[in-house]
Amino acid sequence: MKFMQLKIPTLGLLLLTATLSATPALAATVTYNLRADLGSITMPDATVVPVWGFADDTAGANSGTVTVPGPQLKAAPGDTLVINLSNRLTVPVSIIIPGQRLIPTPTSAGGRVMSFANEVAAGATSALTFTPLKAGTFLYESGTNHASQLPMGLYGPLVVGPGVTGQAYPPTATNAGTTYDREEVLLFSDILARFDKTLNKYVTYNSDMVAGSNPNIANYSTLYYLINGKSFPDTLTPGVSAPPGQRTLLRILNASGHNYMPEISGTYYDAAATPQPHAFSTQVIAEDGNLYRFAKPGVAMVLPAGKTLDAMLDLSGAGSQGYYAVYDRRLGLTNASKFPGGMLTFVASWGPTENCSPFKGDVNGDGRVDLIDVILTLRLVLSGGYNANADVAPVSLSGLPCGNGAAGGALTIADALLLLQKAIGLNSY
Amino acid sequence: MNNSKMLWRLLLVALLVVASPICKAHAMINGLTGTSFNFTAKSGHITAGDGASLLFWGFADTSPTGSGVVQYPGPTLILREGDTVTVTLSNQLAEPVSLLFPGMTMISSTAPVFNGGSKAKLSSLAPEALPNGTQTYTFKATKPGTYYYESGSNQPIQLRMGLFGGIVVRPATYKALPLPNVVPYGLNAFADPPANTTRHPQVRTNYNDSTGIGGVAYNPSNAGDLTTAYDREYLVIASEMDPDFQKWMEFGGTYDLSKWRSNYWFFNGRNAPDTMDMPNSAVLPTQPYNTMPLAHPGERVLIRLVNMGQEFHPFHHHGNHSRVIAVDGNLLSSNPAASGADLAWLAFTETLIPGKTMDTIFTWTGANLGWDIYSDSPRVRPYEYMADHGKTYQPNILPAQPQTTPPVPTPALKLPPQAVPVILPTIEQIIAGANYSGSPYLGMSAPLTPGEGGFNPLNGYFYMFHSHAELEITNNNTFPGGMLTMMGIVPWPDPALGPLDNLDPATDMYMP
Repeated sequence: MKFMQLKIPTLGLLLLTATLSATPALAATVTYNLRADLGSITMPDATVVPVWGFADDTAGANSGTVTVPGPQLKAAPGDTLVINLSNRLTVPVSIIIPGQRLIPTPTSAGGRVMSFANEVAAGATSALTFTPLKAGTFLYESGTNHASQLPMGLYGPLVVGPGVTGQAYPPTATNAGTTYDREEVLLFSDILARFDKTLNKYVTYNSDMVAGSNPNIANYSTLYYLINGKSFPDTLTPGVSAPPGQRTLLRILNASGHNYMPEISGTYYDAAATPQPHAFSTQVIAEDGNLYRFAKPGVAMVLPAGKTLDAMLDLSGAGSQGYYAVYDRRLGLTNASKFPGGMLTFVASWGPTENCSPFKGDVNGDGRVDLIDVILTLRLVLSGGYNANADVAPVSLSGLPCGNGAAGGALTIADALLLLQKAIGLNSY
Repeated sequence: MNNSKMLWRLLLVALLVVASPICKAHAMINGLTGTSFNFTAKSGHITAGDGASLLFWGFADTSPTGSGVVQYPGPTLILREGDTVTVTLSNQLAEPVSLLFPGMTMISSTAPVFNGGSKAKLSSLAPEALPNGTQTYTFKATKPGTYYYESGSNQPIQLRMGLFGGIVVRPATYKALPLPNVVPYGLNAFADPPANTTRHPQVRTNYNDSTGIGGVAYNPSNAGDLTTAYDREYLVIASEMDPDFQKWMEFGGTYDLSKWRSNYWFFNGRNAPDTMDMPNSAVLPTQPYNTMPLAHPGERVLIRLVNMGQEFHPFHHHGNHSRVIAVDGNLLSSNPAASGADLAWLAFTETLIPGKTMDTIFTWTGANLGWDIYSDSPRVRPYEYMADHGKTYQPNILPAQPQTTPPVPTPALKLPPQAVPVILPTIEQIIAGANYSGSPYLGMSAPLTPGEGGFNPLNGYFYMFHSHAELEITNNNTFPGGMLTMMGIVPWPDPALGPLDNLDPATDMYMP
């Protein structure tokens, strides 16, 4: 009966599609070859989590590596997206993209729906076609046994845009700020686990699934909190960038089964002759690929499970560099219950020719700034040598060690002095 | 039952009533004003609504005039737009503590602290005070609104432990009122000192004149903008605790943070019924803030909502809808006469979102009750909603009611005054209802007939304000408790009982 209920609107959609099939002349067909396969990701505490994920096989069969989240898909509004899904898992999978139109052929077994969309059997390959694409940020994810396959890692971001150059959406009179200089995708998800008293350690849902124990997902709670598949501090590599003077569109997605609250705020100094400080936060301009009538400013953003948000980080008025925290206000800031970790990263705000990394100063690359780095820097100063990692003077308004930049390229005693302050804890940059 | 036992019981009842929290409720936002503050982070214990003692970490006001007592939540900062504010944080905890001021324009450094310059050793999202150390933060309160401060260090632990507090930024046009913002108490045997019986002096139509008198939550977009005007304001900070987590922090043992699950829910750091106790209650030394909104009929009550927990809470209030006028200090409404959009919305359940704030305006007028709350037709009382009980609508006198705008009645719609027969209960019948006025009418505040009741210090109507996630109105599995309090609609004092300012004899109305 459930199958019948699903089939009737399917027929309706087919008819609707037939009437709308005249696509715009400029629309292209974008094709991705994705492979659903077993893989693994490694947490900052070296825990290896087996995953089911998507790999980009566009370069050839089995050429891609499974990643979580899956590869970012890009297309333009009005395009047709064809995903050739090849399934190397032992269970059927499918792909749905909430907010994008697919002509679905749901699969049922014994009257029970198994897949919301065209199911690809284990070992098979099949094409899924989404058309015409709507502008915005979307989540592609498994449409089969979601409660299990999403926690396993079968999801990824789809970015549709820009339509007109630099516009996330056609602007409106009351929500005009849709133009951006650069974009960053921040996909939130998590890894579930249970504490095994016999083994005296956490066992992930993924491990139990791969071991074939048919686990009950209700018995698992969140152990690792991920942004783009990584927990802090791995989230810093490569991290999020939003240079001063630019508008950066943050495409924020939640592929987990939980609600999160990304919080981003800060203060920058403008470019006036006497720089003035300004507090800033994000402006959420769209939700689920729908432009708001009015943008919503706020320091924390509500990001429920399955939701996508487009948030503008407008640093166009900024004249100073910055390093701004992004953190989950619902406290998903741990790796296996240990702080710091989780859904925490920083927006690096400096220009393409600058390097203001707060981790500069580690001249010998041992992971910390200490007296040895100071001595190495002094040697370089005396010998007229250069190392970009030691180039920390001047410190910017925000306290970041931006250095002299490419034009300077020389180390002075000021660099060594700043490093000395850093090494003995007087300078926090 | 012999006479002596009965006498004891009556005495006991009288004692309970005197000690009843409601009869001493206070009507304002408690907090610190100024531009320079001294906080000390330290640990203490709170008392939950069921009497449980729980370890917490909080901030104490350790300025020379401060109490020095650590409190949950931290001291509320009441600031003025444009102020440059300095907070000096001393740390008596065993781990680094820092402060974030989201929405404030930071002047002091915002650089995060990575120990040894190592990515994996993030210590704080902002400059930190080491154990036994200090750190100074300077910021400018650029925009009016409701905000918060919170620790930027070890947040999964420190925010669960209570290192946060509220910030109120009043607009530059705000003027302090000449009298304390205290609801007049009933003129009866339990009345407070006469100083508090003076009618609240604010006159609503003057809020936004060119001199900017009185309370507005935000700067008006033009001289006629009444959307953020208010008579009284209250702050409600929501938070949660898992008692197992608090015990683990205090006594050690094994605890799985991934299994953290709240079982105590707080308004301003207290569980019901303590929410209704006095602020600065001697029995709750570390929980100085209460949640006991009181207002006269028709007054505009600004309720500033902050969620410092990590869960979503449906904040539900009885009595009327309220208008959400701002989120995170961003105004949602603008003057209907102006070209700007009005994004405010009405709700009777506001979603309290972790890390977000909301300003709402609540008004209670007795609309649609079906009876004259004053039982004195045809007299018109301040801000009275008359459409459903036969009084003449006087648009030139009555200010606009933003939520329940009274329709201009036609003669055909006029209803006769409804005389509900009332039999006043005897004293034995109302001992359980300390705030029962003896009548379904709100009326004006005045003593009851001798021998009739007398337990009605406020004479008001009481409406529940609570989390509509009913689980959250318990204390560790015992109802009632948690995020629950009462809103008191307190009658205007009866002008016949004493001098009142601004009473116009011609209209029997309080005139500006």
